[in-house]
Amino acid sequence: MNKLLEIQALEIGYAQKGKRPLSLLPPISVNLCEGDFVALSGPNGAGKTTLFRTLTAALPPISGCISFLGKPLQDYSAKEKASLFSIVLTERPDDFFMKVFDIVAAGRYPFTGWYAKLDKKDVAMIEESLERVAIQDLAQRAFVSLSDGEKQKVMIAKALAQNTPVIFLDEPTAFLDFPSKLELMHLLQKLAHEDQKTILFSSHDLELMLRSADKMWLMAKNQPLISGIPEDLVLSDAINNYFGRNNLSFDLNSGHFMEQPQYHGKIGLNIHSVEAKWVAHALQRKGYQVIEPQNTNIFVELQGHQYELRTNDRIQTYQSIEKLLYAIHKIH
Amino acid sequence: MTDTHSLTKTYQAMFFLMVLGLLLFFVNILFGSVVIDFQDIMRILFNDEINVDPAKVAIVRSFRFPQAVVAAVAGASLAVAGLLMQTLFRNPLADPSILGISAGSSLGVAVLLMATAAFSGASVASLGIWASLGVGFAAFSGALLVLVLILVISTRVRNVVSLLIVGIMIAYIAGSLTGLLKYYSSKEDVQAFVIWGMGTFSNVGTSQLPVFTLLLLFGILATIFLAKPLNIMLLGENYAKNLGLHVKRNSFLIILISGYLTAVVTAYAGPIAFIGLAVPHIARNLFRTSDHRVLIPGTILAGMALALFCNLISRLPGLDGNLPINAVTSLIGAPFVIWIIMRKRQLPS
Repeated sequence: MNKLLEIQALEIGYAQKGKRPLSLLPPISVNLCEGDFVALSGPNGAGKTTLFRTLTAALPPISGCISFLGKPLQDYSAKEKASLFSIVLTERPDDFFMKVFDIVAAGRYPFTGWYAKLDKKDVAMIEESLERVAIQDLAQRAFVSLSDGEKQKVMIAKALAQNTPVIFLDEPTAFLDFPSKLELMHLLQKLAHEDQKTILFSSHDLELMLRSADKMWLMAKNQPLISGIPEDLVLSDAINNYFGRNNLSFDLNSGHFMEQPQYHGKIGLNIHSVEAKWVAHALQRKGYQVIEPQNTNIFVELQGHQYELRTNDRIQTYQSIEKLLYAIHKIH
Repeated sequence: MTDTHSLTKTYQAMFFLMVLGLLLFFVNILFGSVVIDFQDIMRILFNDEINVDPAKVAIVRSFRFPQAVVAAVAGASLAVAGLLMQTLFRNPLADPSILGISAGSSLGVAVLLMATAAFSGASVASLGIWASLGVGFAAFSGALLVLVLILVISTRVRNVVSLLIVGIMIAYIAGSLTGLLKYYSSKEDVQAFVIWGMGTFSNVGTSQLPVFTLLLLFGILATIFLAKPLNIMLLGENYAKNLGLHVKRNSFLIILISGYLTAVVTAYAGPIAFIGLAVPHIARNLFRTSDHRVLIPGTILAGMALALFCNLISRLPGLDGNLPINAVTSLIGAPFVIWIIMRKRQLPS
């Protein structure tokens, strides 16, 4: 695959007055190829933002080299950089009268003359970008009147209008509701796979990244950056090592972070339909270990749409899991 | 800007402002404490004044016409200078004086008053014709000093927010020095200073009019070249950098041109308040756009119209002489801005 971005022995961090610069983690060496869809992830304070700012030339590296298409980043002019990579940030334009079209049109500004006159090709590209993210109907709407998800799409359309091979996105899902997050991930995936865009986005939404990203760069303070596909990182325990805390660990079966369980009881479960998952979910949340029904004298069964709680001497039925939980709570 | 509907509306609004400006310009010449009828005005304006009372010719030629030109050009300059500041700082409360340029002018004038009293014992007010030239020069020097200081600082600060804070601080320093100087000045000089501080469009005589107008026209025309950088800066500094804009270089140019316009106007007309703050808001609401290719000409035209209107109010028939222009600009401008903010804000569609 075509290597677009090469990072060699890159040290990132901040200059300190009178002291040597503060480096956040060991030197980074990693690559981005055409069509890569990569999530930059790590807990808060790992240095995601610093790496993001260093890659987008907003912050100088302490040492090492970032090169795009074989040429060091610092050798590109400001205008050349504008056609190399585009950015989508968490900050948003806030001018009251700014229209969606105006913002997407800004993506063409590096390629227009002193008066920013858009030619036919520019306008066609703006419209194409709006269509690509399916917001062509919003073109004449005021940007400030849009929802967060729509705003994010506008900023992505701006990046597309800029027509760069690489797009960097900083926390693109930060303010979105869950369906919008998935929709956005799907959109970015499509841009990487179908349009061969190289996309790097930072996020600390682990479940979302495991679900969507083709590759992950894992960061944690003072630990080396590791790159790999999500599944390998899960099985090699890397996710656990980089994100886990004392009492919190990544459960390989569920794909969720879980607190180290401290059970105060065991309940058998004799259900084999979809309800089993949710009854178990509720029981675990309340601190009961779910086991096979033959190993215990308290267990739950399903009769029609009702939950039966069977103990040694009696059987009680409940309409909802809530009532079932309450009954179990009273027994213990 | 691509759909023809809003483009037509833009041209209509532009045309409306132009007609309004011309009308107000003419009305400014027509009305005054001396009644001159319409026919005579037309004769004087078109150099056919053989049958007109020479006193009336002199009033129109030496007072009303220059005053109207000064109001129009100064209004346009301050308005566009305010637009530049509001966009640079992405702050609706920014105006041409936000970086301390006008405070620098005031300090310059205060230094002049103090120095004259100290070295010659006379008050500036008693120096006649030299007074207005000297005051203009002092005001310009003070403004220029602050402008250069701000420009140097602008190349060293991290972002525009820091620059804004530095500018406001410089304004405070200049203001307090001015206050100190005033405290030690004679009563006549403080009086002269207060009157200078109220601003006037009638201080530019016929002989200085061409210089004043050319100096400002030059600055006003230069703002057209800032339309594209200003549009990009609306997205915020980080996006602007990614779009290949040299943010520092363009901030420098924006401050230079805005400061230059403010310095020239203040030197000739005193610190005129409010036009620079109010007019950009009026233009934005009239044109319903954030595109500076529309806002710059729109602000220039609206600034002319508002300044001419204020000038007219300041010498309404029946009033002897002129009301201080600063009192009028704020009295007219402030309710207007309140009205714009209070009415249900309709989003552009």
